[in-house]
Amino acid sequence: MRRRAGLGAIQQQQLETQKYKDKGSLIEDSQFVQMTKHMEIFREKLEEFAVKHKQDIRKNAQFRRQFQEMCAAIGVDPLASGKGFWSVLGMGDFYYELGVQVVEVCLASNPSTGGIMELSELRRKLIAARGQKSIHQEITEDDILIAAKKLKIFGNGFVVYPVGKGKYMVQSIPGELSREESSILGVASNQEQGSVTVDLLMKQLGWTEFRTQQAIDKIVGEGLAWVDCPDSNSAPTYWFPSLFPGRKDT
Amino acid sequence: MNRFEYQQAKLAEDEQFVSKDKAIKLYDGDEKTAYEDGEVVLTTHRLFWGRPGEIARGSTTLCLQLQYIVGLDEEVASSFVFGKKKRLILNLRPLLPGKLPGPMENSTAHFVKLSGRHGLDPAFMQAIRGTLEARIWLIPGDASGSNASPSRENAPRIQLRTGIGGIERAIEAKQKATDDSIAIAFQDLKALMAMAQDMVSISKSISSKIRERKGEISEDETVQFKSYLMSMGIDDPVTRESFTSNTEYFKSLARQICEMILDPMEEAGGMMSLADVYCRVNRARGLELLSPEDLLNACKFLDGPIKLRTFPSGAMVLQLESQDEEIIAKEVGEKVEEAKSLSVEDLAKILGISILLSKEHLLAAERLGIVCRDESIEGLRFYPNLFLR
Amino acid sequence: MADFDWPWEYNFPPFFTLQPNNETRTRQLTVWNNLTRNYYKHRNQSSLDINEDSPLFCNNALKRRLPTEGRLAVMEHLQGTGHAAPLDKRRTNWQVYWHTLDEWAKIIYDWSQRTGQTNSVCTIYEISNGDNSVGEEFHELDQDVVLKALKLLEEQGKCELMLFDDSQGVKFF
Repeated sequence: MRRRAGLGAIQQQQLETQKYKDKGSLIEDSQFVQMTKHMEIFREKLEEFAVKHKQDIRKNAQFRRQFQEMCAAIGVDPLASGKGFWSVLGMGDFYYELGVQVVEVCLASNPSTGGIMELSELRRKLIAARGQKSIHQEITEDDILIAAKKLKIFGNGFVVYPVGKGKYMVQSIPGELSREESSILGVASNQEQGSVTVDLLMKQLGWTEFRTQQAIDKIVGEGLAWVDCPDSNSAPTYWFPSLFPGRKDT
Repeated sequence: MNRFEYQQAKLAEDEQFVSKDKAIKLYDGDEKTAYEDGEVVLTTHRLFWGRPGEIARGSTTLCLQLQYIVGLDEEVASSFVFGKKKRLILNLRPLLPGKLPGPMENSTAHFVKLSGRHGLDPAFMQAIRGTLEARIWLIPGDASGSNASPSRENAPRIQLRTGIGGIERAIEAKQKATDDSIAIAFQDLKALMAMAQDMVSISKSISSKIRERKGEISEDETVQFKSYLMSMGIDDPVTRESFTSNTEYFKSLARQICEMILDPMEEAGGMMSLADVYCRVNRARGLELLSPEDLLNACKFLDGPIKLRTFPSGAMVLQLESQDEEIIAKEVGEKVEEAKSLSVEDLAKILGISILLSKEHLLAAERLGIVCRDESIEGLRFYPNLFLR
Repeated sequence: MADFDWPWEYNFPPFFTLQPNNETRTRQLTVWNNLTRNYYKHRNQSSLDINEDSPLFCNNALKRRLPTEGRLAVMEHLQGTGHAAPLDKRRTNWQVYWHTLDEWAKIIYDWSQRTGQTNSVCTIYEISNGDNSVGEEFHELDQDVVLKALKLLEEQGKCELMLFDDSQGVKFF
């Protein structure tokens, strides 16, 4: 299995032979040979690293996060393939399984949330779903963001929206929220009870009444918010069950 | 945690109240316990933990004699939502004879932690330090009501003489060792990343040469190169072309997926979202799971009877080849007409399929002009398209 | 009487506004359905007057009340699931069945078999209030509901209703 992506001694030899056969510039060939050599060395280093630090990755969420950030900075995705070089670190199964659980938890909650959930709540649910055993190492919100990001390639839902003040909303219904809708969600997530009025939205977002009413009607139309009209004289309040602090899921 | 005793929350004769805090969780060593969201009360001699209201009522609660505490530490727990909160670590001396019964008798930890839901009250932390400083070397003969007092001969004198300072230094050293090991890990990580960075640069230059068709890089080498890129997780236009040395692997995956998914898919109405397929396949595998990219790449090689399909909305599904979009759209149109109008949820119930698929069917019927939509605050509904009749 | 366990929705202000969105309304009415049944079961009552401001439809702490139109929608939903029936043409007075009448019929019939009452006669009162029925779910159940359940049983041929003096009686088969 290891040999799949590497070059064996025989192939290495063939490559050398090829080099002398080609009339092309030696520079390109030697660059490729150079890279091949580097790959082998890198892979060994990676395996050494894995032996030494696999536990650190498993146990230390900060380490995991640092690792992911550094990879992103240099332009590699260690989770791109379950069979890649990086799989020796054993992170793949952790994140791919987390991905499965994110899908399952979101779909199960959709009936009561309408398809949107705060990241912190998603995390609590995932921890509950995974159980208390210590082998289920602590998951952080960053871990979930990484797993959810990978799900994006499936093209429907599992989009994460930042809504300010370090909060995120995870959407798991098909179709993207428009910018209007996610702006409204942002305002709502910063209200203590998760409720807004047209007036409040107009003030905070600087929109016209027409634009605001249209956007909020659309949100109600998608089943994301409930209308609260205690009497016909005052303007309604709009509530998001996914942001309501008193909500309990069955 | 086995240093705690069950005692009534009442002050003894020369005992005084010092401070209190709430929403406190106890940790047995590093492990969480079921003792969470409780109140703590510090007296001159003891520390009580009880569920809200218990201490006020004088009920029997958990009680730790302050004499057990040999030192204090703090640690910072970082919480995404609540920011950094401090936890208090109470380092404990071994069990003394005559300790009254208490919780978690089998615990092997030598420390406990106090953690507050919003962090500990700084005043409480100050109070506990002060109280300990005032009393900690007064071990036997205090009025706390327990018989757990060692005789003078058995008192751990060495610890007494070195006092809190010595204990704290020892703990600091241990902490430093842990920190050092993480520091080494981070150093190794940096070295690894520096190597990886080099390879990314080299591969970028090779890749641009391939694209510009400069230099003589053979077919074999190109294939190898693409495979390296994929293994490293480097996203490059070159890897998106179909032929790599991983092709065989993905083809065989595709066959496996097909076998796994065919029956459930027929039951689900002939179509399944990729997210759903991802869950099923990985749950079945158990180990050596597929990444979302692996799954997508494999699905591209599907050869029937199931094929990968992308809808205009961007949703990706696997679909039975035998499903004809026109036929489905006609059936959907008939159902809509029968019911006069249908929502996505209505159709999903009628056909026994998922919301996702129901929506795609209705959108397809809309594209073919068979139904048209009505969007309102009531929701999205589809009507027979009378405009085109 | 123990405190009633209100669902979280009872403290969610928009719960008391009939929702305009169909999907949301369906979810809302389902919760109202369960709540109403549980509330009536808890109080062992069966009569509901839409115009009466009970704690069920009025949450004073929240300052919200479900308007009449909403209450009617709730009752009609209950009717749809077999858990309520209107008692008058104006549909203001209703009877709530926290078990459907079918379920009550079965429960009472099973009880009659278990307690060896086959072929013996007892009054409706004895069924709902007798010593024999202490601990049974239908103990102290509204007698009118018991009667309706028995009528179903009669249709199924499992009992016969009879009138003696001025009390209703039933013979189980």
